[in-house]
Amino acid sequence: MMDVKQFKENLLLYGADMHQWPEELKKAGLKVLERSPEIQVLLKEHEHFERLLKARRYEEPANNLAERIISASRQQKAPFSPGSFISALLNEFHLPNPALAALSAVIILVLVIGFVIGFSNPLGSSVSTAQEETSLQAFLYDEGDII
Amino acid sequence: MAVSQLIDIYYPTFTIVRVNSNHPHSIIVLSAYYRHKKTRAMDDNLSQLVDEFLIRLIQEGKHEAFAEIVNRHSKRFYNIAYRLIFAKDDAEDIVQEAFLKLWEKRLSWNQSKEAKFTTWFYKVVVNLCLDYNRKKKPEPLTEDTQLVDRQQGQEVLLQERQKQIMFDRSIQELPERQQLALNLCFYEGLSNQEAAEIIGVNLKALQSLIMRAKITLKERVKQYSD
Repeated sequence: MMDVKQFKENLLLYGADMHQWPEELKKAGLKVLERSPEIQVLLKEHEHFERLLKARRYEEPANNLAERIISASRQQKAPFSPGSFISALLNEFHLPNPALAALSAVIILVLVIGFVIGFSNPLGSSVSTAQEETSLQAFLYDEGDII
Repeated sequence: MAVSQLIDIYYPTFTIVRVNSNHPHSIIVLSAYYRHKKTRAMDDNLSQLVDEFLIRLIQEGKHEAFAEIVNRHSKRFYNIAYRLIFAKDDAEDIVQEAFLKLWEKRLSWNQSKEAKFTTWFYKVVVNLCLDYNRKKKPEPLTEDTQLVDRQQGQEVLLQERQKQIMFDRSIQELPERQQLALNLCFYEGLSNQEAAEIIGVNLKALQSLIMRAKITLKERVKQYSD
């Protein structure tokens, strides 16, 4: 059962419109409101207080506020900076979730390893033309063949 | 997974990695900007897109998306700015400044960190307003507040006006965070949770701020009525 103190607190927290209260509090509040004249007075007082709050001074914005902002932004050029360039680049490669990002990273890693292995030459790079010709001949012809 | 689903996932950019099998060492990595056919239809109907999607388009430099965000939210953010600084022209300037920052620094918005655009942008506008209020010197009481015009028939009206002005001033005199909590929850109609996130406090602290603000104001109202 909600008491007066709890009702007051809920009024302050959720307002005089009891339909906006959390469901359970609303049920308990409406029950106690029916029975207690003291709580009915409290609710009326709070409604008056909220009307005062709502009557607070307010000035409408200029009608062209949005247009003004849009036109000002057109005149604005985003300055180039290496940071923004990198961000743009990262954004271009933006991936929707970590799993896909990890998968992409693995693919890129495999490609990089492929590059490294492919371009590396474990036997050294100094193979003379003569040697190349010799090995080619050895590949093409068996020993003792007449060329 | 269908290709169209993949495209959806990778929208707005789509990266194609192709390996040329004839030359195992020659790998062509082609990053192609892929515009999904749905997007073209969406372009014509930006008003139906959620804010977070518009922000992604803004990050791609789409000015139409920026215009849509401004048209959609400028009044809402003006409201909170006005209620925090009580000056129409300055509130408009602050909202303009906030939106221009959004356009200028569009890449700095991180969707994974900031769950909701409006929550994040409230923080931007609120911080600009608080900076403005800290720089501004406290205003002396205006003529209106001390106005006592004894002309017949106008007295009641003037008393009401005077009460309202005093009440506005009482709101302005609330501690910064109480004022924020009241504005966000009561005037802007945000949930307690969202308001707590904007102010940077937990839910209980936010509720305590709202209660203290309203109790103080109720007491002031009683004082004026007596």
